[in-house]
Amino acid sequence: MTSEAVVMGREGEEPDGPSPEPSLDYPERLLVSRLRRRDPAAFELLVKTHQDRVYDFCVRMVSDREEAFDLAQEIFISIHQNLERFRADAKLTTWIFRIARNHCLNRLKYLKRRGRDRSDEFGEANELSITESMGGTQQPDDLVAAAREKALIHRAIRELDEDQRALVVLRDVEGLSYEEIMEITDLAEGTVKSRLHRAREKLAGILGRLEKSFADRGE
Amino acid sequence: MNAVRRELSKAEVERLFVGAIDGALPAADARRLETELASDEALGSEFARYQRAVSLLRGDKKTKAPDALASSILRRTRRRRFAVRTQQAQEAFFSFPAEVIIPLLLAAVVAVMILSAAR
Repeated sequence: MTSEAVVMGREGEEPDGPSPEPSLDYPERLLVSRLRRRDPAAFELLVKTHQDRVYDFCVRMVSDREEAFDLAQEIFISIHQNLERFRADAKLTTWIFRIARNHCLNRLKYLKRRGRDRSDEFGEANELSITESMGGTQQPDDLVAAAREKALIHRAIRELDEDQRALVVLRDVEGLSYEEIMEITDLAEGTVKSRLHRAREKLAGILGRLEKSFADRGE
Repeated sequence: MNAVRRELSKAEVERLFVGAIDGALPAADARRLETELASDEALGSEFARYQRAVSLLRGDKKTKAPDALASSILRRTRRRRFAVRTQQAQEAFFSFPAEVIIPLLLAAVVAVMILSAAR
């Protein structure tokens, strides 16, 4: 299951000399060489540096925090198993998102096959927890508006199909470049732009509809 | 002035919208989009909705990973490293060639027989 999720390629060069203690701004090339040597401290640094982005990506893809927690673990385990296959000329973040996207798409397919779309089941609960964490209706108007906006955007993303969801999240939430998205999705630049445009158009339509229905319900 | 304004094709709308959002439109295209948006009310509101959707996505606060995530991943990779090492040790043990194992076993059987005959 993990083999299709990784970028195959050539080995990078190992630097000589003692390996320094890693930090958050540790150069990626050195981090990669330590990861290939199976240095546990380097892997820990990788997890701590990327866990928030990977987890957030999963939450947006599957709309379920429990499932996202499970998925994020699977993704990092897969990264750990496939470190030797990381291409030296690729960017680590791109490779991680490629694995994350493939895992999320596979999980969504699996959930659909089992007829157990947890994203629907838990979506409402997630939105409620967002509103609750902001203090429910007892908070000042701007906080309530922010929570409402967050719930709105999360619900709108959930209504996109999986591929569109991944594209808007990678580009507009994660802020990745077209080159990075091309590498993650294996699509040509024109296709990425065209699909992204359609996804945004659809999202804009969904947001309009949801806002109207919120307004009609007096929320 | 040209009285009949040529409507933008779908492909042109896509190129102009995506370029505008990326801030990568050449000056001539930016002027053209501006003119189109000002003269075509439907296109104007479509672009406003489009722009708002993107700005909501970009401004949306990210969800932080739970504290337990990193420790859970690291625990699982440690367990996996241990399992791999155990498997390697087992493989090394069972990878003795038959040419070595069989004579050793035969020698052991003969030794047992000699010992029991000597008693």
